Amino acid sequence: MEEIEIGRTAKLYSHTIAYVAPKGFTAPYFQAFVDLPEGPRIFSLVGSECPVERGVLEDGMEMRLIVEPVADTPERRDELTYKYLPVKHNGSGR
Amino acid sequence: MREVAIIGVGAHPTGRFLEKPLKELAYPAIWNALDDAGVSAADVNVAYFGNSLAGLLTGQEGIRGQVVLQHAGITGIPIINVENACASAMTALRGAWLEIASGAADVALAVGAEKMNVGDSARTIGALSADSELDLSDMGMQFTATYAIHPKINIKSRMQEYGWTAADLAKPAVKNSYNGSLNPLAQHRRPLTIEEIVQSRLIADPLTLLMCSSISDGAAAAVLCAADLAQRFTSRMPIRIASCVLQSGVYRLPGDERPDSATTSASEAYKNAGIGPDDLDAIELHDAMAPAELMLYERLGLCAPGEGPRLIDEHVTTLGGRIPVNPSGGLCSRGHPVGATGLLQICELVWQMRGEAGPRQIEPRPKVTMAQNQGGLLLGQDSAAYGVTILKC
Repeated sequence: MEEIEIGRTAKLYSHTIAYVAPKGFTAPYFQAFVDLPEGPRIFSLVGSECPVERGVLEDGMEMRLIVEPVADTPERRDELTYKYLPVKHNGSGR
Repeated sequence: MREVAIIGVGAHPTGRFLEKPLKELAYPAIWNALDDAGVSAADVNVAYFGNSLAGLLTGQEGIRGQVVLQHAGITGIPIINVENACASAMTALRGAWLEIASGAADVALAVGAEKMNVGDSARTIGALSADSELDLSDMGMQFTATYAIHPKINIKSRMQEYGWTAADLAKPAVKNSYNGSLNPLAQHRRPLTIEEIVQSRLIADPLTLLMCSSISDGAAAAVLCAADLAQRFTSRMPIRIASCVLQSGVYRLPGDERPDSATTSASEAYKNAGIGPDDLDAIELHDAMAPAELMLYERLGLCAPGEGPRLIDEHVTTLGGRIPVNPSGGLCSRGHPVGATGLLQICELVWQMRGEAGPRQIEPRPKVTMAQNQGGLLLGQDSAAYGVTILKC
């Protein structure tokens, strides 16, 4: 067995805005699948600095890996996970 | 393998029954099925009990079937508890079918029962998220949203590729809400219009509230026996199980060109029954979200990719059409008490094949029918379980 690093970049496969969130998450929020250059297609949330608005993301766009809390809620704030952010996004940012 | 017949079915109405525990949902289904079959509790050699959420919602994690069945007089026989997410009931049916087909039993009972309304819908939704791989739900995956973006269906890309509109996505719900309005067992009995479905609250773009099946309580049961013994119990027409298939989802990387598991499970069911899609007279399928019905038309071989909305526009799959789909109202209207759904589908098809479906009766009476049930979500690109049953009379 050998450890390798994967997924520093990705391509957005699909995305939607969910208006209902499970416990520990705040709606609305993006849900996405991204394709990693190494092969797998994985589920991912989108980094919190990306504004949750229609038209900000476009399937096929280049994404980059970030690590941040799963959600900005008391239940999940201390837990880190991978997420992806667009390399360039169309939104206004915050 | 011996030939197996369904000789009795029964169901509890589907809906919100806050005051009723799981047992009380299951009993009418079980007793009606036994009565319908002319079978006494003592005649039953083996029982399969399907349920998905009782462990998390009521705490009754173990021996769910025994707890319910002992008070229905079904005791002292093998009772097998089955959990397979939204495909639990079809998995129970398959177990009962195999017991008889193999010669191990002559009479078997299959039950599916689910109690989802516990007065706290957040808790119910939390329990449902355990029907997907926890690595996904822990990470914030919302089950409904996956219908919009999950590679197995990806409605958004289908809208782009085929030019489907929001109105197209609503069409199965319009058709099924009409069917459900004719079904006294259905949870939602008001016929819906395209406009109100499209304009209802967004759940996960482009899915709106009225495109989604809702939280539901219900139960269904079927009594099976060796086909050559059917006349011993009942003079009613036995309904033969021509095939009963169960497949788990397959892990796929992008670019994997193999057909998906909804397609392969249906193909296997067709092959085992010696028929093709053109031979079917009616279908009950797993429309957990309305647009899934459009996708399943393709996967079951009813139409070419992208042509799903046309089948509804041209009334092919409406009650009076060539191949009615979801005459019961389907998951969105009849209701989706997850661990009961597969057997609710079977009940509907048996009633239709016997000519007992009242105002929603398909004419002429269907002779060859299919129930398609699926459940759970894996990290790969498939649901976790696919169950398909073909019935003949």
